[in-house]
Amino acid sequence: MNIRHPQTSMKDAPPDAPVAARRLLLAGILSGYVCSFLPLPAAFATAPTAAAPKASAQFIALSAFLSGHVQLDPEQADRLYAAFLAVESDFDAQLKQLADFIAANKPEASGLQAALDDQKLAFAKLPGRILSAWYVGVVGGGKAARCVTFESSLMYAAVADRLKPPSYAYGPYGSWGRNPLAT
Amino acid sequence: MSEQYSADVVVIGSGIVGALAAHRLALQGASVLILESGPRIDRATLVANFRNSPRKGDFMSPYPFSAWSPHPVYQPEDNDYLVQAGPYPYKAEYIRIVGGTTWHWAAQAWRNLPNDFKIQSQYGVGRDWPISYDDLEPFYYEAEVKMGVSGAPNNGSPRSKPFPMQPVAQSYLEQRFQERLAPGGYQVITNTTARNSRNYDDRPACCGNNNCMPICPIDAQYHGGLAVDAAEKAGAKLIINAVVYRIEHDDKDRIVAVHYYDPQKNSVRVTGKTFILAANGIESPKLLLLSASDKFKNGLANSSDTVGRNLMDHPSNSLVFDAEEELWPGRGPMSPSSINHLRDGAFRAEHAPFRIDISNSSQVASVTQNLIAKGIYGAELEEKIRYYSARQCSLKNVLEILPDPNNRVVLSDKKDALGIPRPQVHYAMSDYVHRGMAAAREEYTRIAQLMGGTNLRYSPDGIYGNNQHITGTMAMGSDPATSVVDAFGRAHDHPNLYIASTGIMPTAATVNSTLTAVALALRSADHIHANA
Repeated sequence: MNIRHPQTSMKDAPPDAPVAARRLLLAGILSGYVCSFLPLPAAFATAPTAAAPKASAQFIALSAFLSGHVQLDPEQADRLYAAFLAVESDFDAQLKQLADFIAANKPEASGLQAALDDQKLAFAKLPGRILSAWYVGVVGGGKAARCVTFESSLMYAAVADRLKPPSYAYGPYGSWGRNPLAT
Repeated sequence: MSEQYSADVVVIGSGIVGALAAHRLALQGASVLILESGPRIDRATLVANFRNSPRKGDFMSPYPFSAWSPHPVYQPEDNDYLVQAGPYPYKAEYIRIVGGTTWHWAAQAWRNLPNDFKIQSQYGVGRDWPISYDDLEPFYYEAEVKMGVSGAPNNGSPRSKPFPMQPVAQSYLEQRFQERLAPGGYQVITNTTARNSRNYDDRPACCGNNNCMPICPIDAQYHGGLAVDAAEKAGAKLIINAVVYRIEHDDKDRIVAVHYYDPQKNSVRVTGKTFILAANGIESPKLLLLSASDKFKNGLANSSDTVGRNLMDHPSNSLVFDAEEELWPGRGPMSPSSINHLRDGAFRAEHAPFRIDISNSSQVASVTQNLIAKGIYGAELEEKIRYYSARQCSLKNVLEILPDPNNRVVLSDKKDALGIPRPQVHYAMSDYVHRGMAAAREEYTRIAQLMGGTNLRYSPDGIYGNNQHITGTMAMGSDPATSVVDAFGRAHDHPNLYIASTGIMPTAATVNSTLTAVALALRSADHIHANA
C-alpha cells in the first residue's frame, strides 16, 4: 500500500524521530500535568536525522515465524526494530531468549504463547509485542507508545481488498455502498 | 488594566454554538468579538496527528491542549483536569481550541421530538421546557441549512421544509441491517447528520473515509471550525488564547465587561453591550461561579442556585457480536443508521427512552489487538483478522438521563496553570437509567438474533460509556427561582447576558445535543437583534 500522509510521511521519518520529538516537546512544556500528553506527531517531520540501526537477522526471522509471512518489508523491519531498541534496552537479549526457546521446543506459531505462558518465562509477552508492532504499527505502551506505521501495518494489508485504513477515501460519493464481496 | 477591546456583542467561546450565533449577528450588522481560550489548529495538522497517533481509538489524541487552556485527557493517563467527586465517574471529553468539540463528532444533528419538550407534563418525570417544539422549529431549520444537515424524513421530528440535501448514501452494512431487522419490527433509518451528501457550502460530498471521529479529513462533515470561519467572513473578530476568567457587572446587574488572561497571564478587559457565554456545559458554569461578586456571592446568574446543577449527558451500554454474514464495517460514515421507535412512549414514566445506534466503524484494529492478546499467531492470525473484521458489529444506545440537582459542576480547590480553579463534577446514575439500560439490552439481544449473531458480548451491567453531550448545567425555564436563563437563553439575573450552550437544555432527550443547542442559540441571536 503506497498511501502517504499529506503532511508527514512516517515512512520518511528517521527511526529515532519519536525520541527527538519527545525531547522537543518536553522542552516546551509549561506545566507539570501537560506531560501526560504524548509527542506532537507533527514534530516528527522536523526531527534531526541519525544513523538508523538495521533490523537484526534474529528480529526478521522471529517476525517471519510469528506472522507467517515469508517476506516482510525490510525497511519496515528496520523501523520497527529501531523503535523497539529505543523503548526496550534489552530487546536484543529478549530476542535471543525467545529464539533459543523456539529452537529448543520447536512449537508451532499457533501454540507458542501457551507454551511460554506454561513456563511463566520473563519474555513471554515478547511475541505479542512483536506482532503488535507489525500488525497495529505501535511499539511501546502507555506514555512510551509510538506509532511507527499506519497504512502499511499488516492488519490493513490483510483486509486491503475490502477496507481502506480509516481516513482514506473509498472513492467518489456513495462508492462505499456497494457490496464489498462483489468488488 | 486599560480597556483594549469593545464590541456590540462579545461571545465567550468559539465552539459551533457560539460561533453560529456570532455569524448570525455579524451578518445582521453587529460588531462581534469572539474570545477563544485555546489556539487555532488547522485540519491538515489534525489529520496528520491522527495518522501518527499510537492511540487511534482515543478520539482526544490528535488534539493537543495548551497549558493555559487545558481540557480533560484520560489517555495514556488522566491529566486530572476534570476533578471527579463521584460517586459515578463523569469523564467528559471536550476540546478547547478554535471550533471546540465538534472537531470530533459523528455529525449527528438530530432534532428533539415534540414530546421531549414536555416530559414532566406528559410522563411525570424530569422537567418541561419553557418553549415548545414549534417555537424552535424555524431555528432548527436555519441550523440545518447552515450546517448542511440531511437524514431520513421519518425520524419522528416534524418538519416545515425538507432537508437541504438528500440522506447520505447507505453503507452495505446499513443496507443489510435494514433488510434483516425489518421482519422483526425494527425500522432502521439513515441518521440525521451534518454530513454532505452532495457538494454543499463549498465543501465536498462525503467520500466514506470512516474517520468522522476523531477528524473528518475532507470537511464533508460540518464542525465548529467552519462556523468560526463563517463568522469571521461575516465580520466577526476572533481573539485566540484569550482565557476569560471573570465576568464583571455593574450596579444595575448588567454585564459591562469580561476579563481574560493571555498565555503569559496578562489581563485584558473587554467591554460590550451584549454578552454571549458559549464556553460549553462545564466551562460556562465554571466561569459564572468564578465571577462571584459582593452582590452575587454564589456566582453570576445563580440566584436560583442552579448554575452547575442538573448535569446530564447520554450514558450508553452496548453489545458487540459477530454477524453470520460478511458486512465489513468500516466502509462509509462511522455512525450511519439507527433505530428510533424507543425514543418516546408511555414507558418514559417508568424507564429511560433511548435511540439505538448501529456502528459502521472499522473493527480491524480492535479485532487484531484482541487476537494478538489471545496468542493467535501465524497464518491463523490473518485468517481470523479477516473473519472477524468482516463480521464484528456493535450496537449502543443514546439514553436519556433525568435532571438531578445533585449531579453538578462546582469549582474545585485545585487550580490550572493560570491559577484558575479546575471544574469538579459530582455525578450519579439513577434507577430510571438502569431500567432503561436493561430494556435496551433486551432489544440488542433480539437484534443480534435477527442478524444471526454469535459471540454476544454485552457491556458490563452498571458500567456505561459516555457520549460527551454535556447538558443541563444552566437550564432554561420560566421560573427564575428554578432556572438560570429564560426562554430566549437570557440570564434571569442579568438582562444583557445570554448563554448559548447545550448547558441550557433542561432535559437531555435521546439524541445528540448539538443541533438543538445551535437552534436555541440562533433563537437567542434573533432575540438579541430584535432588542438591540
